[in-house]
Amino acid sequence: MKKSLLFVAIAILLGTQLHAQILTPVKWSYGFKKISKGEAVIFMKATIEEGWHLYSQTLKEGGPIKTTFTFPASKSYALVGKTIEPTPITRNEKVFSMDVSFFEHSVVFQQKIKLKTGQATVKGTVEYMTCNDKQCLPPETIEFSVAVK
Amino acid sequence: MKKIILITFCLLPFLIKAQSGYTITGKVGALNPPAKAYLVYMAQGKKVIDSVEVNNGAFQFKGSVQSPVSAGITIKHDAAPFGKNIDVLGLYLENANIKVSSPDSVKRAIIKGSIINDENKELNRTLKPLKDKINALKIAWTGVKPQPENPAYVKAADSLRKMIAEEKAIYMNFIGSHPNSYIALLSFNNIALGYNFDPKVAEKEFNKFSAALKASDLGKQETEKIAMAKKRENGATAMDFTQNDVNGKPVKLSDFRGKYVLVDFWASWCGPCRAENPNVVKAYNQLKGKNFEIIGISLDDKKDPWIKAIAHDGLPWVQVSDLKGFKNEVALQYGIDAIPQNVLVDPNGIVIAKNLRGDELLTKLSALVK
Repeated sequence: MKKSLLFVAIAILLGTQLHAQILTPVKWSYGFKKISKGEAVIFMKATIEEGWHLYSQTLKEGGPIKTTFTFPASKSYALVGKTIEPTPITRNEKVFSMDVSFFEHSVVFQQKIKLKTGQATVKGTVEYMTCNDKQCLPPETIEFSVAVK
Repeated sequence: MKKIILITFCLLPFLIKAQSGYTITGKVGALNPPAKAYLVYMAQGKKVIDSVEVNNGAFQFKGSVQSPVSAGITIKHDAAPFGKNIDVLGLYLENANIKVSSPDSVKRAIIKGSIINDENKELNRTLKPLKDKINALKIAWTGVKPQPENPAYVKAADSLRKMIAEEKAIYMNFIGSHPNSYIALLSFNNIALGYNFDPKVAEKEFNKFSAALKASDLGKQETEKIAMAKKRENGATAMDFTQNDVNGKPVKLSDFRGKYVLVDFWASWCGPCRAENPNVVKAYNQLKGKNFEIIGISLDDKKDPWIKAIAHDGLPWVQVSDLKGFKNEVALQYGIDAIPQNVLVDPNGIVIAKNLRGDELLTKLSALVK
């Protein structure tokens, strides 16, 4: 599976947030893979700079802001299940008195979809926050769009 | 000879006019359809994708950009969907006649005709030996928790610090010697305007850039960032604000005149802020009853976690928030783009210190507050 991840490199923009922020420790790229005639998996990959953390989707309240993917309803496809993520690193963080799950270096989130018309443009947003051991940057919401053919 | 110069000068306006857009002329091997070339970049917050067929390895993109942007050129070598071996080249796109050529794949292409890409290459070449060493060291210590008692760890941390300082010096040297370079302006944004930068030092350096660069979008943003930082710089009158406390009661900074006030930006979800809190509590308890107060400004957007964090960390001082997250109006006013940050205001309402953390906070405060 890992080897067949099909990243649409045209979406890899090394510095798309060039002007947005001083620091851009997390960069996103997207891709898809057709798994059958009517189904596909959308990949959302975060590349995270050394020392920075991106948080799991499953974080409880009271700690860092979790990563959230949102896909608006569409006529051309339907979501199958939730956005899945690999097993994060989990640490009990004293400052929050709770377990905090996060990713470092890189992580690929996956969303399975059912195609209604054979092809679809999957639009979505990801909201995330990133911190290192010294500071946290503002949560960001990024829009993305993946053309599944 | 003179004639040639004259002609060149006459041509100059035309040459400049011809540069009003970009032309990317590519040549990658001898590829033919269905091979396709894609150009992707962001312009004014929107993704721009252009694609053309590749004929005998050749392709061309034309367009224009308001200011230089980073872009990607991807070559799809055959009709199959994008496979795991994606052939992509990252480059800067500027209005110039850019030539991209490679005998086999675009990722190995040589870029010509673009000053920005040349300068980027020059900078990267200078940085590479050091970056390789830094990466090797980081990889060797990845996932290792701080071990202050381990001499090997201390040595590694020390040499990393030195190398990072050295890296910064290379950037600053490049910036200083390239006042007309967009890459220098970009590096300046990353290196000289980071967390807790000194606006006076930054302004002096920034002023060395050419007028054209200063007038670019990025140049304007940097000017604004420096201006913003100056407003919270030592010696500046602290910008007044009013925000509600946990009970909805307005709290106004200027009402604290006559006291030293630490304006502390934090949030419940910010680990480094929470880790700093015990230190702030310690300082507060030692100086309690003297002419000293703390106003905690939370960049939370929900009340519940905010209140819980105040209770959990035992923060006795006044806490305010408009629950707008990083869009907190006081944070915007003070140009806070990462937390934790703090500003120390003296009894006359003048900023006298900022971002005091760790032991420095108590040392500085004890020296001032009697």
